[in-house]
Amino acid sequence: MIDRGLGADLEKTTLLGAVLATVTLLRPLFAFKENRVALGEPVMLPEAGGVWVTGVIAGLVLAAGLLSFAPQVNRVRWAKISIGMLLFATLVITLGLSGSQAVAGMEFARITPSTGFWVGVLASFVLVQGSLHSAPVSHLVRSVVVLIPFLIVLILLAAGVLDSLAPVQEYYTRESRFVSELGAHLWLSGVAVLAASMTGVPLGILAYRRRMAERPVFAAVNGIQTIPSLALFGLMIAPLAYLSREFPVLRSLGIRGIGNAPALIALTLYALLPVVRNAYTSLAVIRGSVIDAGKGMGMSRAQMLRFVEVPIAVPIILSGVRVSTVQAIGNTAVAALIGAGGLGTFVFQGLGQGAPDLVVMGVIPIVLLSVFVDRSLAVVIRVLTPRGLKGAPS
Amino acid sequence: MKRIGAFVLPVLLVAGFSVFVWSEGVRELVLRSMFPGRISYIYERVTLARLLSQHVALVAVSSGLAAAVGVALGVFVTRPIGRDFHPIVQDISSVAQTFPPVAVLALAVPAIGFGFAPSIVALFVYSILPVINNTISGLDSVDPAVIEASRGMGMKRGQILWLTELPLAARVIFAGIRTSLVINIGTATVGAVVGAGGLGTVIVSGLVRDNSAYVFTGAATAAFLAFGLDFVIGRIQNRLYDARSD
Repeated sequence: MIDRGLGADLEKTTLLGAVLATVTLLRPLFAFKENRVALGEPVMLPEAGGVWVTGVIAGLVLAAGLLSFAPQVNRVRWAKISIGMLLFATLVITLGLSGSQAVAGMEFARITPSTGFWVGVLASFVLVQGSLHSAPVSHLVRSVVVLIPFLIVLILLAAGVLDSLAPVQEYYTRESRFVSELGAHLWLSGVAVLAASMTGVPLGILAYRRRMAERPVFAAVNGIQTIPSLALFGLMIAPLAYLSREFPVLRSLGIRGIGNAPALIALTLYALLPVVRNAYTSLAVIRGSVIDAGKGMGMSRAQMLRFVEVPIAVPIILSGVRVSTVQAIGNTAVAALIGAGGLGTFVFQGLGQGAPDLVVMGVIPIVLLSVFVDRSLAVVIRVLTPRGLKGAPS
Repeated sequence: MKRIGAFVLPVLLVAGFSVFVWSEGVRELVLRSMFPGRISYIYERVTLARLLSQHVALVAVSSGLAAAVGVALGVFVTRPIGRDFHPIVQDISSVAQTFPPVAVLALAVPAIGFGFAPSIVALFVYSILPVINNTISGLDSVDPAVIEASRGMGMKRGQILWLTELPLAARVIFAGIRTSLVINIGTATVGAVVGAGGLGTVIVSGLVRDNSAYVFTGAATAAFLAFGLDFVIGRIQNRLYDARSD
């Protein structure tokens, strides 16, 4: 065996993960607050978890550090992935259990995760992702592994272990409001994307078929996307307020300067670009050689539509819808500023009250929602894409 | 004649915009005709020109930093020394790009507090993602045969990067910087809520006080700024790469 020297097999991401994980031992795990606005007192990991937990974390850090010098074979990869998962689980469970202990008997007390915790989470992400990426496994296995941390958190939440966390407490004090705002958020972005799809696809087709329409259509939908969302919402208010004043019919329909109507119009306008662009692209793709191939096979017009055009166009258009939906979920958060409701309400309430935990409680579902929608649409698109057209993974 | 027309229209628009921003008399006249009533037309706390310059400063600093750091990171992970980090950086930046920019801005408050500086950090963190993504995909798409040819010509690693790879990837990188700039102008508008100043300040104040003239003032100015800047960058892009932008 040739001696290649220490460090020849060094996996830098794992080493980075190990270095980040040591921060967990040196920085406070969480801050204890007597009430909602109190300044937090930092609590370190040894104080929170005791000797055993500290020992476990230190062991994991050491193991990760040593393994970063090992050759990246499959067994080592899975060892690193398990270390990352264990690190995450230990941190979250310790946070929950010692948090519950710290606030026991105090009605308004709560805890907020601090640097030590967040850097630890980042470390476990780096450890898992760095090795998972090169592991020779299927898409399905990879998705399942990625879902494990979310499952851990969900189970702990359901079991009430994380009840002492400030964002969770903010949630409990407005549980029913949360459900209705989540519904409003889904409704606003859903309706906007639906409306944009129904108008965007015909617009894309029009732009492709008529050269006269191509430039103005794209100039308009591109131009709208550059306008800041808050500005577009603002620009909707004055004309709608005017229309609602002048035409009582509209007012009786609930159309006013603020609220749902301007939000929906602006959100729909924003959602147009990706749909129009992809509808246009799908036609351009179909127009190519596939049509000739279909004709050559003697397909009838209906068969062409059924077996060639629709299977090619649908995934391309859906990719546009995917981009639109993710954008719409984010823009809907801003719509709360013009009184349209949605999860943004909590974010801006929290910012207004100087209550960071309320902000976090509003932001996390928005982020999870957009990532979840993005990932699931990616899966749908992958399933629908004809085998011959599968190229780059999305 | 057509050339003159293409030149005159932007000049007229910019002139009109400048008068609207700098002359409070004219602005009041315009707003009064649009929103008749007994409301205040001129935001009294800060001048519009100052808000505009705050906005430009927010965007310029954060986008400038994002462009510099983003390109550097993209170059780092495509070199032999940073290869290990390539997948992880790409994963993080493509997943994080699905986060709403407002979410990142809002999370900056619990993490670093209210005001101008924290907002710059938040804008920077979010807008670096499209730059990293495009730098990586731009550099990855350079044909290995071209790099091989450069090496064959006796170029050193640094020369290959500067004279071959970056120029070939420049188009894609530039598109990423443009995206990050447009996102930043938009997110900076919402930055008013976290005390960043900028044009969102008038909009938010108008929404709170139910004053449509304020809302319009901020919204129109922000929209014009975004539109104008995107137009200018599009022109530069066309000039540099002699192709139609989309």
